This record gives sequence, C-alpha cells and structure tokens, in this order.
Amino acid sequence: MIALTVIGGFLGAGKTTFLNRLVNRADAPRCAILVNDFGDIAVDERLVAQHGGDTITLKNGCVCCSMGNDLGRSLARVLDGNCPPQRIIVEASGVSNPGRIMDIARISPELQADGIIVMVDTLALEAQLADRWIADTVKAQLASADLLLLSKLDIAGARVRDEVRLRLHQWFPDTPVAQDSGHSWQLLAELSPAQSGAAFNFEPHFGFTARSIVSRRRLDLERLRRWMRRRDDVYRIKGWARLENNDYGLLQVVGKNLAWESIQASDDDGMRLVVIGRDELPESDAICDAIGV
Amino acid sequence: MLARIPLLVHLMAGEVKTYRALKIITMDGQIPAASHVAVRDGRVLAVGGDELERAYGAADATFVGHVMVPGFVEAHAHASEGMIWKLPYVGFYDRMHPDGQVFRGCSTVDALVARLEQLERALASQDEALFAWGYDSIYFSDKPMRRDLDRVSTSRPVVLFHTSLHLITVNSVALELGGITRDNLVEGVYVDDNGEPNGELAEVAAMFPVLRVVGDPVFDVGYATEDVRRFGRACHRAGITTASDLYSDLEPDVLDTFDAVTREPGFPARIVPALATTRFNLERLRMRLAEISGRGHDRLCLGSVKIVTDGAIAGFSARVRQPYLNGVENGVWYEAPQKIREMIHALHPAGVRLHIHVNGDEASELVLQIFEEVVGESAPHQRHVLEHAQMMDTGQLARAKRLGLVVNFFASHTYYWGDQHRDATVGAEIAARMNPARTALDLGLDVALHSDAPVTPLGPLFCMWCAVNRQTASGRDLGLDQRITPAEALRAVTLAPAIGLGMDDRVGSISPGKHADFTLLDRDPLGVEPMRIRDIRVLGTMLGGTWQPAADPAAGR
Repeated sequence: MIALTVIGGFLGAGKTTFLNRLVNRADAPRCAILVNDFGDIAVDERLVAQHGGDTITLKNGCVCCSMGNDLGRSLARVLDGNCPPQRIIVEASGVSNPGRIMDIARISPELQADGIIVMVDTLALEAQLADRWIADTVKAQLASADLLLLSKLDIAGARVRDEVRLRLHQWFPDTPVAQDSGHSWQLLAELSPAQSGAAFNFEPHFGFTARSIVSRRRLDLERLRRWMRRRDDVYRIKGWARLENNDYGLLQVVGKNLAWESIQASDDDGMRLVVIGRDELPESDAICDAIGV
Repeated sequence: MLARIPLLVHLMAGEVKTYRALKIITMDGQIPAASHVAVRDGRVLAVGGDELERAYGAADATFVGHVMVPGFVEAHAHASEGMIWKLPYVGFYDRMHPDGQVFRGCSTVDALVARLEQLERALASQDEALFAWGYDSIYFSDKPMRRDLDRVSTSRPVVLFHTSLHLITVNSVALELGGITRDNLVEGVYVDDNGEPNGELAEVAAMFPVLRVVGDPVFDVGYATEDVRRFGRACHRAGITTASDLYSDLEPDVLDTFDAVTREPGFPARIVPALATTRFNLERLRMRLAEISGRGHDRLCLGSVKIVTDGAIAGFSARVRQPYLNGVENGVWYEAPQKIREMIHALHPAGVRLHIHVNGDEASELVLQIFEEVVGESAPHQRHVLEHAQMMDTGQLARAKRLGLVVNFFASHTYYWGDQHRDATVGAEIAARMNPARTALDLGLDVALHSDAPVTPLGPLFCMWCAVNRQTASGRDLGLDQRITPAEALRAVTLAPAIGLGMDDRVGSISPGKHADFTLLDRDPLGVEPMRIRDIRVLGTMLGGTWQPAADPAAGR
C-alpha cells in the first residue's frame, strides 16, 4: 500500500509554500505530489529531469502532477506509472474538505491514509471565522485535520499565535497543533503511523487523554462498533490489530467513522492501539475487554 | 430607378435567395412578423412581405406551410451531450438519442433490470463491465440497489452512472472488485439496514475504487471528432443553431477537435465554449485566454469565461441562505469567494464576458455584491450572465437588472425535479419561487431559458413549455405566479440567450445583417394551445443560409 497524505487549508493558508519546500529538497524520498495546477508550484529548474504535459519528473525521484479537476484520474495515473511512488501527497483545493479527499485512501485497498495536514493562516483565521461566506468551510477543514499547522508566524507575532493556538485547542482538543517551522519532511515523518508507528508523539493537550492498548488479544470490529456507539468521548483510535478471521491490518477511527485496512503478510500479532478521548475515558484494560476477544 | 438597386447589389455580391413561410416570427421589434425573408451570402438581407419577391425574384416555397423562427440559442448546455451517448441510456424518462432513436424511460426497478438484462446479453466478452447512464435514484421510492443489479449479473460488474455523474450505483461484483465492504466505509458509500454497502457510491472517493478497476468509459477517453459531431446532430434535432459548451478547459487538443469539426461543411450549429476557471489561477487564466484568442471563427465563438460558484440544489450542495429540508445546513463553494471576487474584479474591466453559475441564493448574493463593487454607477458594456439563478428573490433580481446582468434560468428543472424540490430539498414555498422568470421579466431583465444538457435533454421548445406552464413531471402545478407568455418564452430561447452570449449582433433574431440562422416548425409556438408547445416539431434548420431538414421530423419534437 502507498501512503497518502492530504495538505489542506483555505486559500492563502500556505499550502503552496509547504509543497514547494517538499518538491525542492534534493534528498526528498520518492513521492508523487498532486497539485491543482502547476501555476502555483515553483520547481527549482535545476532539479527537473523531465517536463511532460501535466507531469514534471524531478531528479530526486519525485513527480509533480497537475490534477485539473480530476483527482481520481490523476491518482490512477500515478498508481499505474512505471515507478509507483512511496508516498502520494495531495493538495486539497482551497475550498474543499480534505477529509473527503482522504476518504479515497480510507476506502481504497491500494492506499493507506497517512495524515491530513490542514494549514492555518494564523493572521487571517479570526477574520475567516467571522466571514459570513466562508466560516463554515474553514471550520469543516479544521475539523478534518490530523494535524493543524500554523503558518505566517513570522508576520503574526507571538500574541496572535497564542490566541489562535488556544482557540484551536478549545475547538479541537484532540488535534495536535504545530508551527510551520520549515521542516516539511520531518513533519510528514512524525505524522506518519506507517513509518514510525508513533502516530501521537506530540505533546498531549489539556482536556484529553490517550490510552495505549498493547495486548495479545484479537480485535472484534463488531464489538468495537457497539462500544463506540455507547461512547461519545472517543475522538480517535489508531493502530494495528489482528482480527478473529486472522486478517492483520490498520485500524483508524475518527469520530464515528471506522476504517479498516487489511495488510498482507505480517508476523506482528495482537493489538497495538492508541485511543484518544476525553478525560473520562476508561482505562486501557477496560477498553481492551470491551473490544477484544 | 430605385427598383434596380437590388439588382446591382445582386451583381456585386452573392446571389439573393428569398424564402416564403406561413409565418415568420422575427423577434425583431422593428418588424415582429413577416412572410418573406431574403438571404444573401449567409446573412439576412431583408425581412418583409410580398414586396421582397418584387425586389429579389420569386420566393422559394419549401417553407410555405411552415412557421419560421430565429434559430434557437441554447445558452447553457455542455458538449458532453455528444459524448455521454457512448453509453446506453437507462434514465427514468423517455429520451431521444442524437440520432433519433427514442429510449423509453425505465420508471420501475423491474423495467430498469429488464433493460439492463437485455444490454447484458448483447455484451460480447464474458467479464466485460456493463455501463449505462441517465439513471437518477431520486425518482425511486424503492430505489434500485446492488441486489437488483445482481439480478442482471453476478459475474460481471454493472455500473450505472447517475444523470449528475456525481454518483454511480453498482452490483456486488463491482463492489467486490473495488474492495468496498462494511469495514472501510467512508462518506458517500451508502449502506442498507444491515450496515452493508447498498451499491450507491457518491462523489470521487467512494467511486474511485470501482472506477479504478472497471475504468471510466466516457471521460477517460476525451473528446473524439465523432462526439462533437454527435453534439451537432443533437442540436440540429432540437432546432438549435447556436449552442454553448459552458464548461471547457479548452486544452489544445480539445480546441483543435472543436475547430476542425465546426469547420466541416455540414456542421449544423455555432458552438460557444466558455473557459472554466476551476483549475486556473488568474495569471494562468489570462494566459489561456491569450492562447485561444484568434482561434475562433463563424461557427466557433471563443473568449467568454465560466465561473462555477456552488453545487446543485438536488445534490444539497448549492449555497443557500436557509438549511435544506433534510437538515443539511449548507452546500459547498466550488471556488473560494475570494477567488471569485478576484476573477470578477480582473476580468470585468478587461471586457471578458462572464457566465457565473449560481444555483443557491447565497451564491447569487455573493456574486451580486461583487458586481456592485466593480460595476459602480455606469452600466457595464458587456452583459454578464447569472447561470441557473434558480433561487434568486425579487430584491436580488432588481439588483441584477441595475447591474446589466442577464439571468439564464434552468427552466426544465421545474419539470424534472419540481416534485423533489417541493417534497425533499427546499420545500413547497421555495420550490414555487424557483426559476422566477415572471418576476425577472417584470423587472425588465433579459431572461434566457436553458436545458443544461446532458443534465436534461436539449429542447428549447420544451424549455418554453416549462416556463409557460410550470408543471412538474407528476402533473402538478408549481408556482403558477411565475408563468410567462409564449412570446416571452420564445424570446428567452432566441434573442435573450444571444444577448447573454454576446452574439445578439449576429444571431437571436431574423434581422437584416444577422446570420441567416432559422428554425422551421410545423406549428406556431405563439398560436398553439400552451400545453401543446412541447409537441411542436422541428422540421429543420438553416445555418448561415444552408438548409438542413431534420433527419426524421416525425420522431423529433
């Protein structure tokens, strides 16, 4: 499976800057970056190996594709290419909900959902949330994030930054907030459960709790669903498990949405899950009893 | 002496041909009705009565029993109407193929399954997927699902494209091939009472795994020469001599195809593609406009731009000021409001004509506010168009009038989705006010009517019928206060859309100097009983003075 990461955020949030840094690193891992239009991307010409229609191939092994309006077809083209990438990064358009784009990875057997980064224009957030036309769009984008990334901090200043952080923490207590420090690749690696297994190595935030489940037991998806229906204090569950039917794979729960992706051939066994929720979340053993067999 | 002047003109220029019809409705206020029209070099030379025969010689009597109107102008359609027919049609309503065959509507699940079984038997290879289009689940109370499509085949994928192309309904084989189960559900994968995927897949994410395996038989291929020709034939059949293609990327290869086909001698329509902004920032859009500039000709009119602001009302994705009946708070923006503002601020002063898709009333509000910023005190030179404009209220329409905007209503929507809007999307009160042509005309706006083909069939006469009668598919009246007269409706499919396309100097009325683009009808649309307008037959069209009879007028309407 190929990891897919979505970079979202409203128009002007800094997505292009973030992607430009990714593309122009000479030592970038082999990845495909799908952007809405080349017009926005500034590829360092010294890195370009080949220009071909709506695809630019770089010497560092990355390809950059212009999606037009057709994410599905562009994705298919990348997957069917001669040399499939290790990772696909999709730039969400300024008005789209990145969560809906990530659904492609959640449903597709070929792809693994590997983090939604939503860029936040630190300077403009307050005004955006008060804007009658776009407030709901911006909120939906923020809510879809696995990681909120503050941009334009150099102009915004510490006070505005802290206000924005506080506001985001109040609204999305389970979503880590980071600052766009210029290290795009490092950030992607940290976010990725596939690469480090450490999906949540961010500082815990006030008001929510993480429970780590490590057990030899198998996971029962049906019992998990029933357990989730009874609880409204679970924000996220993420990690690896083996099912009763011997399938091994990646479990991701965001809110009430459950996604299971089977992974072939693994010697790993048992459950290694992280459950994120409010403070009143049951202890790990109790959760394990509720969802394991 | 005076009588000799036309003869001199005749010697210097091309031959004059005079036609006589039962009645000529010119849509030109200076001579509203006539019996004769003289044509020279593909253009109208004169309109009048018997005196034209004295001036130019005996009239051609081919149309002597027919009613002549200006060639219809379809100001909001898509050339994909010519593409989509590569797949068999299985829609709820009867629909005519561009080549004249009528496909009977599949109005029950059993009828749909029977049609699909028939198509399935005709497939050659064992595992080839069965595709069809035109289906819309909104019309079924017991909507067909994977189990029904499993009756068609349990060995090959069956994939139905909905009319909107935003959804597919598939059988179990297709779900299996795509790996879609109850364990990887995402938004857009609909489930049955047991939590199993029911076969309906909405939007790109849910459709992706299936289309990835079975392929997308329409849009993976792109425009072929034959697709554009087929679009031309569909226009001809409906009496349309000028048709927009209101969302085009105008990639070089697409432009080449349109250029070549529209230059073919028998091609029956003028095509007006509008460049879509969706994938471009302003700078790139300007570059693309520069690239296409100069590529247009008499039958390919370039240079206008389409901006899509919001989604569709039936899909609960139009931006609205009140929540939908089902509790959905609001739809989605297709472009960021800032980008829409930036585009209008830049393109309006540059003289670019804008076609702006605004389905919901919040979208029309946004666009009106932006135009109020840019237009200022003086009326604009170019007449931008609010497309669909379905939910605009009286106040918004009055502002549109002040701003010199044209409104292009989705007339056939009243018929095809009026019942659903009343019962399921926005409710009876708003449904009755949708596509408010009466109010717009009373305010002095130029009002056009469109089909949005392939969303609904090309059909200016049918659009007229809808706006004149305001009746839904179930036969119920919907907003009779918004009815308009047949004469107003005829203007709304001829001169008004020509104004909206910026072509009223060339088409839209039978006036001296304009292209000799006419449509011949078997009855007078202003004379028949209003409920019969949709039964009027198109007998053929004249484009630039060249007559092309309908291939099979008995089948056409």
